[in-house]
Amino acid sequence: MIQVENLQKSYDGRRVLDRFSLTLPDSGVVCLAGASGRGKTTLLRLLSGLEQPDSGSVEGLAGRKMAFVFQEDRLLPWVTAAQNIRLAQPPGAKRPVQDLLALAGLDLEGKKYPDQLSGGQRRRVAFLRGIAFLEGAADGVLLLDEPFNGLDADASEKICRMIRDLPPQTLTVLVSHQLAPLNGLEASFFSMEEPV
Amino acid sequence: MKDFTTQNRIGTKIVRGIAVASIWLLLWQVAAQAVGQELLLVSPLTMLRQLAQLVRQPVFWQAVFSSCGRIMAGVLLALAVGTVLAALMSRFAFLYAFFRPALQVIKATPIASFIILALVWIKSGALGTFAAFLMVLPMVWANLYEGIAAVDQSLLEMAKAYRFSFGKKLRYLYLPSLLPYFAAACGTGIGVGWKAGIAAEVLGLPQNSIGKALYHSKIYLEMPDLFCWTAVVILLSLLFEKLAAFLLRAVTKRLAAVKGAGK
Repeated sequence: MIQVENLQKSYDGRRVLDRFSLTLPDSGVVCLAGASGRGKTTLLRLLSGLEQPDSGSVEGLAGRKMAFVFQEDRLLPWVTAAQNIRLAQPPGAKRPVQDLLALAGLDLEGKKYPDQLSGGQRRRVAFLRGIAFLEGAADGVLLLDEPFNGLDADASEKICRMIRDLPPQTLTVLVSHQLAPLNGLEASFFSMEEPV
Repeated sequence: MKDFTTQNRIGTKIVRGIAVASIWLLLWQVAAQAVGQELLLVSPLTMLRQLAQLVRQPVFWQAVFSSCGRIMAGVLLALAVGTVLAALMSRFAFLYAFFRPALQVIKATPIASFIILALVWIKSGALGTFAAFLMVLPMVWANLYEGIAAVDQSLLEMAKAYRFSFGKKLRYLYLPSLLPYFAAACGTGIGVGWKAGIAAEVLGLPQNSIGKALYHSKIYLEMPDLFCWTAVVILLSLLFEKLAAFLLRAVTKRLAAVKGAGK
């Protein structure tokens, strides 16, 4: 199990997480639900190790490979969609980028640059980059911040299918305001509604 | 259709460029005829005739190649040192505090002061290189330092999250982000480098140099020569600016190619 204990995090004196504790399973899909400003994105950033808490601890994630799909797409603007994904693949990765693109319904978009893609297409490329990064990791962790933003029902379904097809030891932690696409997934829900 | 449009646009640009240049040459010719004294204002036709004679002499090419070598060595050195300095000063605050005043002093000091001082220490042959280096260095540093500070922090964080190696970060994040700043530094740096380098040659009078030829034109009141050499300096400066722009475009294209992508 992954133990999140008494996390505290403030930005410019504003407390975003206050003695926040949570137990997460080692694998499966976990959805963090809650209104804006409850610290969901902050929690993902602390889990990823991109930021350190002011106090408190996260245990059980050491040594696991983590991919973070940010709320903003953060694609490199000067390389194509396929190249953005390829750059995240580990050395010696076998899975062709074109296969990944096809799974997300982007077969014809690989050679396009981010500014030639729609918002929903960019979102999917950012998601595929995360999937590509975890290739070969049996117990990877996929952190998804609003992965369904700008996606229609069909594209969301494709994303959910790819999450389902991840190796069984993978842990997916996602933050989303849109819960409908998750219907097809066996997800555990954790509420972060308590005011901090 | 797209190719046709692009070709059309390039064609229009060339025609417009030729038209503008012709108008200026015509105005110059009219002004020279109005003044009526070649000693005061050489006409473009006289200058072209003189240039046609000069290019047939080996000494002309010796001066051109020597000055090109000296000045462009200074510019290239400034590009290399300025880039390394900007990277180090962005990374280490104490280096920024240490070097910034020196670079500001260099930027504010008249080039003539440096050249006269350097005449005591440096052989006249190296003066052009030294002057070009000194004038271009702060420019390159300032541009690239600003560029490094402007690299998208969210992309840097993405690179950290996806464990980009240093080489990958350099090639796919820093270099594309910094290329516009580097191109701007090259564009202005080459022009300034030529001005400073030629000024240093005029003061230092090294053998086989454009600066020395310019100086002799002044001493012997050879106005057609003076105009010719000035035109040569302008053309060389433009040539190297265009060459740098072409090379940077090629580098940009090369950087965009990721081996194995799109499989």
